[in-house]
Amino acid sequence: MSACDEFFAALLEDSPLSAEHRTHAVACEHCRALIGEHALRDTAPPPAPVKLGGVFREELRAQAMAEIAVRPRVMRWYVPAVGLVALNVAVLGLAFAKLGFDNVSLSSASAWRMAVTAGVLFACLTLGVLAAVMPRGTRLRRGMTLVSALVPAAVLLGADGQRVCNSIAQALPCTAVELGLSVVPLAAAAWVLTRSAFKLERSFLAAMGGATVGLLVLHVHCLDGSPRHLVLYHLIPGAAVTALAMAVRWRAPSRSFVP
Amino acid sequence: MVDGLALVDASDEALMEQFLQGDAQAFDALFGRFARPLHGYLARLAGPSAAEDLTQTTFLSLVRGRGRFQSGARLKPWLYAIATNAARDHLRRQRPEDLTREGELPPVAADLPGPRDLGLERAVQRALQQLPESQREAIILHRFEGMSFGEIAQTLDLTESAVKVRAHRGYVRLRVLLRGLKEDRA
Repeated sequence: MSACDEFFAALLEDSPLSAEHRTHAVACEHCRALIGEHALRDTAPPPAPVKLGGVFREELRAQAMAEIAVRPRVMRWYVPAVGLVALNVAVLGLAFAKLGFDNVSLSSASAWRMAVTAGVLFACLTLGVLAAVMPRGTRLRRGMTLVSALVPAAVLLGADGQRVCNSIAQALPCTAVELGLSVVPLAAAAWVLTRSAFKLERSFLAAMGGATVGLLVLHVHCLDGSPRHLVLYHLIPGAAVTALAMAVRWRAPSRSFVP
Repeated sequence: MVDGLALVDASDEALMEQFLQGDAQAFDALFGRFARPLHGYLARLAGPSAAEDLTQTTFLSLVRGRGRFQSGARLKPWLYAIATNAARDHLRRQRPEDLTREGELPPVAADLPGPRDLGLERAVQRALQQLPESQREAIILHRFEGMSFGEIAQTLDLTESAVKVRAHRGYVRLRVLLRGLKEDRA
């Protein structure tokens, strides 16, 4: 093994380079390039704090202080997160109050199937949204992403298969309800997410949270349980608004790039 | 509040806690401590021309998003995560006319002190730009910024093993690219 090979193997270790490898890197242009010249000095004492341009520093400081003056209180992450969840639940409650629970009493699907579907949807619009906003919680986010991916299956399995709507005109109100109920939760979610860096997984969860508000209302209200109706008038509109909300967040400038 | 001397000795996390309580001097101390390393990191990641703006964006993000800093968390990976996110966003939004004909960032010398081999630095910069973003981030953080794989995992929100795989693949590719340089120069 050549000295370069040994040096390369040492690079992949999670520890400072040995004196021997450092000496090699100083002498070998090729290996020095792999680590950057200043990395050779990584055992030296840390440099004293430096100023990155006086004007630059003053400008930045002024901007930072202006930001603090506008919002002197630190807003912890859970404030907007709980706000989003509360908004979703409030929209859900208002929709139930207005439209009722027709399918709960008239559906021939078993109660437990309906309950499981409702549980999955409710988890998406509460826990999913929470996971989308929280700074940590990688496991919860991954778990909720999996749960969200199961929403179409849950909606289809929680229905009784009975066809009620015989025309597009009869079915379109479902799409209108779905879209109408998603507007406010999705807009709020997109706005909250601009407070941190764009992450596909977070955007997906927040968008799904908003879209499932309408899906849950339709699940307990809509009497048509046929797969065709559910796919065309519940799930596809839900997927469309989810994709649209993700695209909006993708294009919208972030106000902060914190994770 | 702590006095100036204590600020110099305070840990990064203690400074952040002070800043969260409204101490502007703590922000100055954090800036003094991290501005130059972050500037160098961002120059390698997104190109030197964008580094100053991105450094500014990083510190303003710290101010705006300070409520998302978790008590007990380490500051350095969090700050580098902000910088990485800002650079990714910048690269995502970069207009095609900002790139060279080959679709790369314009090669400019890195911001390093001391005697410099500009030809080598440009070659390294070009080689780094040819790596996929995920591998480039892992390598820059690992050897150029001197972070451990654990810290990089926190910064990039990945598992440590995923970071090691990215770094390994990146080093292998970088070595091949730089070997060509060595042969050219010989």
